[in-house]
Amino acid sequence: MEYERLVLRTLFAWLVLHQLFRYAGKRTVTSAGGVGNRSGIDLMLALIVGDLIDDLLWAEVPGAQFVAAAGTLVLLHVALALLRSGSDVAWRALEGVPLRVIAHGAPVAQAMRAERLNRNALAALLRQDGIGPERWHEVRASYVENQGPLSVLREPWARPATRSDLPPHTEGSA
Amino acid sequence: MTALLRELAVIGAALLVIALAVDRLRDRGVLVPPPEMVVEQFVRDISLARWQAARGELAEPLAESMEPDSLRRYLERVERRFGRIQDVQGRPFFSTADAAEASAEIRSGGEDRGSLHYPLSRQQGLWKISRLDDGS
Repeated sequence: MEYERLVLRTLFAWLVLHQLFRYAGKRTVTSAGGVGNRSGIDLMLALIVGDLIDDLLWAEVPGAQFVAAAGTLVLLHVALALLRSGSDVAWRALEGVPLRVIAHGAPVAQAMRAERLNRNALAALLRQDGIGPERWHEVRASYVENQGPLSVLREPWARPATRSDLPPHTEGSA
Repeated sequence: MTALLRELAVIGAALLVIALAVDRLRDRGVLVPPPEMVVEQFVRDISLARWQAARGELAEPLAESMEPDSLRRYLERVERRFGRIQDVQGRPFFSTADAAEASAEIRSGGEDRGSLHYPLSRQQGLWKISRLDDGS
């Protein structure tokens, strides 16, 4: 193996992918990289592109084929992202619908089955939000979001107090 | 829409770089598979009966004449001489701007080894095998 050729191919592949992902949108970059919330589509893109680069590095395919394949994938990803952002129907079709797994403190069995969650797993997710089993009654609704994490909406009386909850201050009041 | 245009621009720029590298800088083995890789891939393809993929590695007059049956007969001749192909590795022999030769080192059962030499020529910027060697 001629190492200088390998280095040049690696640099070329890195540069092409860097530029392709640079314009693909920040959500794509963070989610495909596994740092942020990841959707199935982003993960799929990361896996396929990750495999494509191997063929170029070992000179199994011409550079033009690599660019065409990787470019098509990212182009398709960007096009789908634009479609999702502009259409609720497309969003639901491509991303799915968040499932409510807790309603007014009670687990929703059907939704939990759909997400393959048992009570222990649900308890673990809620603990990450600081909600132990003794405080489930404070949860008005909890959803498994499209990207995977659990979102929690508390009952109005259980929300942390804010400045707006205080009575208005009047001059001379005790 | 701007994002799509930018992506298209990146793709176009990358393809332009490749075209310039191959045509102006006479790249023969960085952004195009080098001769030894073409030869290795060809022998691997025929050993796996991937006839259409193997035809893609042949230069034009040869590719037209080598139908899948012809490639199958070629494989049989090679295997009669060297045994069933278990592994192959391409080795460069020489390379000029438009002509090259590379060998495919074949490993068949056990420690048996042999090699086939293939001349290659450039077609549309890519190396293609211009004549088949069956080891005879």
